[in-house]
Amino acid sequence: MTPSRFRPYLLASPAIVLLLGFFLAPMLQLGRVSLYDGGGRSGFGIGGGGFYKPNTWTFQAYRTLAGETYFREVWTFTVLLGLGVACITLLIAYPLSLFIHRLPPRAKALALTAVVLPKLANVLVLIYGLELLLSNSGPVNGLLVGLGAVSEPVAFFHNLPGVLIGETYLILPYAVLALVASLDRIDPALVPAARGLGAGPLRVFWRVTLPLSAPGIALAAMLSLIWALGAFTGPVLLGSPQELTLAVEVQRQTFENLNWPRGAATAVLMLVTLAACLVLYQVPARFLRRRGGAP
Amino acid sequence: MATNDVLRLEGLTRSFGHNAPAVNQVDLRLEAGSLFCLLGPSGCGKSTLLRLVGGYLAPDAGRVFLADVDVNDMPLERRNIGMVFQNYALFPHLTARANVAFGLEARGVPRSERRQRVDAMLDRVGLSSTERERRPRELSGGQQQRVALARALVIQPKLLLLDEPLANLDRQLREQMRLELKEILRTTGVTALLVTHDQEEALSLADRVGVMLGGRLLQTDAPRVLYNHPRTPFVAGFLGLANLLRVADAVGDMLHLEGGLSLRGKGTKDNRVMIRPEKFLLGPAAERCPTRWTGRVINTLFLGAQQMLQVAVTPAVTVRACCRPGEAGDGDEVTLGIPDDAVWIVPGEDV
Amino acid sequence: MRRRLSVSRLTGNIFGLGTLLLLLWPLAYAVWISFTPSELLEPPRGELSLRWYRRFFNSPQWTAGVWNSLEVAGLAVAGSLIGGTGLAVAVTRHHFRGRRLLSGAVMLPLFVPSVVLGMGLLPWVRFLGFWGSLWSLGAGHALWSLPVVFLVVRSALEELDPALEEAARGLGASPFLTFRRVTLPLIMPAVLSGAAMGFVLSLNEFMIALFLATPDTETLPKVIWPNLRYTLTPLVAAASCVTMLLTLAGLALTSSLLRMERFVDRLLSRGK
Repeated sequence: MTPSRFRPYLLASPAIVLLLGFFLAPMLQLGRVSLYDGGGRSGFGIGGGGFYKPNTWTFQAYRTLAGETYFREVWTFTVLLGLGVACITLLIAYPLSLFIHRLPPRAKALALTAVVLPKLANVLVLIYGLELLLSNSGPVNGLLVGLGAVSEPVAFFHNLPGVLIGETYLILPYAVLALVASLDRIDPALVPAARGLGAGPLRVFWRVTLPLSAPGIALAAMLSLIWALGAFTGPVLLGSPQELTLAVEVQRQTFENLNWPRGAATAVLMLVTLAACLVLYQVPARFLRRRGGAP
Repeated sequence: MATNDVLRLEGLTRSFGHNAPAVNQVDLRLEAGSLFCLLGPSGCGKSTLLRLVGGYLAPDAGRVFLADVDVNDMPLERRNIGMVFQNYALFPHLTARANVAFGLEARGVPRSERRQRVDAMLDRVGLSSTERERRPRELSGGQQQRVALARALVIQPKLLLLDEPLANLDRQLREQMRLELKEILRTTGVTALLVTHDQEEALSLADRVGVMLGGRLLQTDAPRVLYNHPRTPFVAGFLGLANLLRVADAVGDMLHLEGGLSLRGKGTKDNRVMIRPEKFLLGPAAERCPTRWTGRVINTLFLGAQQMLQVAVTPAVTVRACCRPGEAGDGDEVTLGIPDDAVWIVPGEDV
Repeated sequence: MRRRLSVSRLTGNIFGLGTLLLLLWPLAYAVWISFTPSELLEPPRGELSLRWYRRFFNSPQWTAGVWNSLEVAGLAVAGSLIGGTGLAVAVTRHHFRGRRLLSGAVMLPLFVPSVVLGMGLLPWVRFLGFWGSLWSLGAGHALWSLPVVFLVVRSALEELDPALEEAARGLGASPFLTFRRVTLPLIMPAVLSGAAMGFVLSLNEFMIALFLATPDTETLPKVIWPNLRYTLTPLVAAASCVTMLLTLAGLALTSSLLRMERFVDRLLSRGK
């Protein structure tokens, strides 16, 4: 029997090992690689370094990125895309969540399953399904052309709308889950209580439901932003070479340009951006949480 | 120093955070076979005291002795104390029988003996053989209570702790279970420490009762003594109904009370005088009493066997008095007779 | 008043149902396409065919992907179950230095974009000499399922009436016996659902696989990836359906384990 003083550490040790060995260490390694000199070609499979010159210390990768309009454009596009996707996601997710929230229990369970089901499937499967759906010969274009709304098929992918649709599609389930949970947490007696006091349905929504679900909105917005800033599959599969995000950049530098320091530096800057967004985000989030009655 | 005490507490103290101690300097002795009841309002520290005894909490100061052995450093699973939790804490995934068998299993009692002892105990608490195979949520509140009791008793504990054991039952069942509980505890001969906020339960079950307030034991006595001779105003008020009147001045044998009343008795200024409502005499009997107060009935409450009157004996003082139903009504002028033995001067103050 | 209400409700319902259908539609469409007899990406006309599934299962690359995926998911689930449950017990049942830090730190991997994690893991795993082993993939995936298992099990432990464990201890059970006989059976549903979620996460994860997998350790999503990017054939649809089937099988397995566990428990308690 271990002394009880050590027992919690013993219990936590597998998680600690996993976190230290496969999270903290890789993150530190990422920082280290970003400070190596690029251009080394020790290659895969050979022990030691990758595509960098080991044991060098330089800010070269960061300096290059800082001076490049290309990188600035990618960065700006990523942030704008993230914000855009988060907004679109919320705009669709809130009414959808309200609809699900008001369903009777069985239908609600079914609807939530329908929301989660795409998340149980592979990201790639989803994107693939979207591609099939939106392709020139797909049913959406078939419908549009058949109705005479457009004369020839609309290009839904390999462009910006494709990326927006794809990423929104991938992120929507998380936002809906967060929102439905927060809507369900509102005391169900409040709505009839407000109606009983003479408030119309719209006023009840504006004065009761919306403010009380504000914490859920805050959470959903944060989740959407985090996921949208890491957008990779959407831009690669549904975008064109113009729709480059930081995530795509990291992968390209690593596997196509074989410039690991630059890839790592991009990844580090991506993390910094994410952290900055989360910090800035605290301002509206605190406001929203307070509206929801949190201290 | 060998004693007959099953449990002895010395200066037991425990606080949570920076609040005032929940249990403050408590001393207590429990003789073998006795049934002791800790009584107090919620938040008085009685449950904390119970958990300290059981080893579910560690004291900040003071000692717990079980049969003269200091158990402060003994882990709870070795103390051999049975506990009936307020919500029973029955294992929801085990049948009633497996719940009762749990403690014996943990002690490595062989299967056949285990079965026999479990059945004997379930017979004693009166759980039918079909109910034994059910899970807690399939049992009624009263049945769950029996299982909890059997589970705590089957390990033949040195001491049985009961935390508000009847609080979760509705009124009728509670009264029936109170009788059964008393009978079971008496026949098993176990020493028991019971916690309750229900004064009726405490008075009817226990050999001795300790009244707690603010983490301290105010008074420990037999139920009758507590009721008739409370040592502090709180004890007087908490057990049953009491008229408490402050002594404004004491002159010889006469006590002058607040509001201009006076009666015969010995006490000092600022003592409290207690008169139980049922000790007042009305009608012809009142005339024979040495002290008589007259007043107007301002309110009546019909209580079944009795009627409670609220009588304004002076413009500032109202007392409660019991009488037979219909003996007096609202607005009647009544004379309350106070026999000498009805007056108790509360000697102490609440700490 | 009533009319306006019902009209706005109606539009709300149409919007809700429509969005739900749109959410499900690509999935359903991919399944439908996978049964096409055609060489091209078109829905089957008239006849359904299993030819793409035959192609899938006759290809060593695809079947190896299935096995690799299952093995990686198994490792990730095992790792996150041990790590997540242990940490949840430590955090909910003990007070120790670093308790809050750990409960926060375990959530961090969820906030780091997978591409960043993959980029960091690649040089690190190569440095460790782990590169090209399924273990490295399993460990990477366990980082995602760890917080999931942790959250689910922790909330189950927090909801568990503390009096139950106290009662067991008071009845003479050691901390270990208490955990085995009382705590674990009662949090089992949470543990299993955590395992199921971890399994699904790992099975469908592809970013870390993209960075860490070698030709010998390609998981199914990693095999799908180049096919999706460069050659679009109905084979990808079939492959997608196989991953969905594996996911559903994983979920069904855990839910049947739950029922099984209750069944065995009932049998055991009868025997007493």
